Amino acid sequence: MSEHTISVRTTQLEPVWVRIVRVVGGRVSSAILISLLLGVAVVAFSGSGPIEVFSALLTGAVTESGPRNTLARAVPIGGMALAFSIPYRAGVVNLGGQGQMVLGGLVGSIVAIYAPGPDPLVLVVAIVAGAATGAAWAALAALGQWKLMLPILITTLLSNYIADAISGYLIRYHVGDPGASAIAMKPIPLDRRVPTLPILGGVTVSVVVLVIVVIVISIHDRRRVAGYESLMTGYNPSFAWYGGLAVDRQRSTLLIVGGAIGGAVGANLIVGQLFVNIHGDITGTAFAWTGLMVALIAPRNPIAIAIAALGFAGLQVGGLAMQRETGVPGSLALVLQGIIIVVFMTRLVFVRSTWAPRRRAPNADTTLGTIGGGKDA
Amino acid sequence: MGGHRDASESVEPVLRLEGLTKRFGSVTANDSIDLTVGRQEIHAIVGENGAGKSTLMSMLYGILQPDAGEIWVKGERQHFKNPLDAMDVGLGMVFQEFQLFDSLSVVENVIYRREPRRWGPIIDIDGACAEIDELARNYGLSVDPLARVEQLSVGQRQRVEVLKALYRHADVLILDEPTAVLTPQETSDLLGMLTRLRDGGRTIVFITHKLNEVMDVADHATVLHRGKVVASRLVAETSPTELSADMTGRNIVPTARAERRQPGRTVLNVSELCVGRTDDGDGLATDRVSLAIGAGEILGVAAIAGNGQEELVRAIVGLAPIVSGTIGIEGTPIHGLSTRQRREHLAYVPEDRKGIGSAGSASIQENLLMGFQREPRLCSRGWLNRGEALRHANDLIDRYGIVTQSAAAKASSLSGGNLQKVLLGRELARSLPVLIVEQPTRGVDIGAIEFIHQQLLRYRDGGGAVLLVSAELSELLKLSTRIAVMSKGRLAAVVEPDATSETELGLYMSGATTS
Repeated sequence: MSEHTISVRTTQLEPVWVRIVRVVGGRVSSAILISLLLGVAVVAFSGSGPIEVFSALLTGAVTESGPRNTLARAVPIGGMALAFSIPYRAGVVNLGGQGQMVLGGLVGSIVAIYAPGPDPLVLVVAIVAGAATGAAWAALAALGQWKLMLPILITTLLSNYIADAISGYLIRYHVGDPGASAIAMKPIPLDRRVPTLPILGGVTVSVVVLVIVVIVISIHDRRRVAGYESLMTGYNPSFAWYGGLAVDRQRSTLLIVGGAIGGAVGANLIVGQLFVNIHGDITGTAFAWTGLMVALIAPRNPIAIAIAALGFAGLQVGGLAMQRETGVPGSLALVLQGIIIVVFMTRLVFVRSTWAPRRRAPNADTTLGTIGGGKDA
Repeated sequence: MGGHRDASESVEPVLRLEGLTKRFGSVTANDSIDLTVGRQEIHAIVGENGAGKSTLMSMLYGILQPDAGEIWVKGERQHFKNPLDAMDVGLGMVFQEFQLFDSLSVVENVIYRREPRRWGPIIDIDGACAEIDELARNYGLSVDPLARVEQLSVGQRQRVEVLKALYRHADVLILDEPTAVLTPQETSDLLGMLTRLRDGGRTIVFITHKLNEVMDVADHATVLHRGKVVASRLVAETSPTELSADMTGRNIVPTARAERRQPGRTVLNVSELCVGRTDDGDGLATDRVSLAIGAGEILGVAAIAGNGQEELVRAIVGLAPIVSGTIGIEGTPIHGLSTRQRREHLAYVPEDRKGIGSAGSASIQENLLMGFQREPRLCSRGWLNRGEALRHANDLIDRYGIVTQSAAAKASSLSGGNLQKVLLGRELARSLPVLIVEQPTRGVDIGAIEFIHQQLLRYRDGGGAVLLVSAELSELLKLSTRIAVMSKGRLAAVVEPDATSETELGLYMSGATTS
């Protein structure tokens, strides 16, 4: 091969930090800039002063209790983003995050309130039980797909309503607090709540746990054979199947893992943040859906997901503060959140389409043949 | 015969390209191309894969806009913004992948966007049919105007494409690799038709890499190599050897048929295999097919697309369920095994390299790893040995001469030939007793074709059993120990390459049975 001499190869994959700098420097910063401009337009249109609004947003997120609230909020958002992204990397769309959270929260709070035993152990068991519940709930959808050909997309979505109804029924008639004014359970005993860390102004231990989970997933993806296999299934399921991977089993496993994370996040939300399981509260936070949006920004990159979760949490916290300070409705923050997502998604598509010819340049002939409808020979 | 009318200075050529250049990033796909096509000539554009033929045609037809250079049609400078502009000045293109509505009739396809009207909004189908009939008669393009396209054979569909162009009064027809999808008989029909069209006053530009077709019908041949015109020759004054040397930039002696040896014990045994159709049709795609391939044997499978060879392969590798029959490798029945289990016995290089054989967004290294990731060398307790995985990839990249900047480059950045080397290298590296390979050299440049052939023969000589499905009869004749011809899902004949010819194979492929 005469061309062979020109094949100079780097010996390692691109270092992570180079990629982070490249992606954050290019794609991310321009997407944020575009969102900001669109956001200014929206704010101006709503009749408020953009500078006033954005400074209120920012100060709300970073001053006083802002950072603590942001971190606290980033846990369920990031967690639910992982619950979505783990099955998504193998091409499974888990829309059942909310139901997994609700049931995980239900079982988690039952354990935390009623289980005997030493408090720290009960707390751990409560979260594990929540995870197991979410996993079992997701497993039903997996079974439906592989045994009955029911699409996971539909079953996970619709099972959210069933989960909600089950939770409402059980809290109202069986495990609820009869003395409460709402459909609610008893508060979680003080000693069985997730402990806070003295640093960072009293954020719960859950933050640390989530960071560990993110690191574990990153390592799993890059270093574990199973991580490689699930990424390949995500890139091209036919390729994975052809390569002899048990694609169905692998996808079920990932969906169940996603469900487990969803359930754990639900349990953690009750025992670490809300402290009382009021029917409808978990659904009301919409963390499952915020997490889904966050995951869509970088579905295969848990670290990016964690950073994006932090950003979105800050936006929400800042939005609430802005509402308090300026009287501008906090839902404006949600509008901005939506704009960021839309811009990110379009940016990704746009970047892909403009780069495509250049990236395929060595094979330009074939590529263009396809545009013209033919394969070059 | 209209005769060669050499583009003499007195007659304005129909088509003239001057310094046409197209760049994609740092790659120049077309570098200052000059081309002159005279009236009433058949002009062949020849070149290897990636020589820039399709880019050139895309610019000529307004799909791509040149970065520099001029396009002149019948004495007027043109700036095509899209194919409609090109159609307006009388250019017509027949793409390799047909642009037809399968569920509509021939006439509806032909008149699309040029519908003849009667009484205002009513489409004059009868008039259109009559016009199409006349065109068809004049040029020997027999096809039923009221037949639905999905019922037509590939050759007939191609005629519909030609009719579409003629109906739009195209006097310059551009055909992109028109014979790639045709049987030998259909090919000779097409070539005859091209001659008639030329004699009827039309100009034909025809892209190909098959030199025998150039020699048979073309008047003029322009050779592209790496984006440049390297030769422009009158066919009457050249030879296939000269053109081939132009194309590759080196002299390639047409390869003789590979030496054959007596196959050893049976390795792959397929018995009475029936496979259902993957489309909606009734009946069987593969009907009681029995094959036995011995160690050190290449069994070629010749068939027109859609005659059951795809299903045969899919059933063997476990991607399609079988209706009845057995498949065994070295005495072990495998038809009940999962794809994963079967892949411990057989290597497979699928026709659909991008859709099945690789993951374009994954790196070359990741693509080369598939199937090896759980080997003890690369994996301990579920942990991937990344250094070893990279060494594995670089080793295959070296051994198979895969041209890439890095093992970390995405597989989608590879050219057709290099992607095929990734697949072949990966599959052969597993040293399994059976190799199933479909269309090993489709879309692959000449240099890589030779390399791939050598690898297949080497595997055979090492005692491997190969099932080779190919649409290139010359390839089958060159490599196969025996050739099995399939037609309508059945085994029509099994022949020795030395005792047959392309014509005979073509006859079996189109349904004739052994006498």
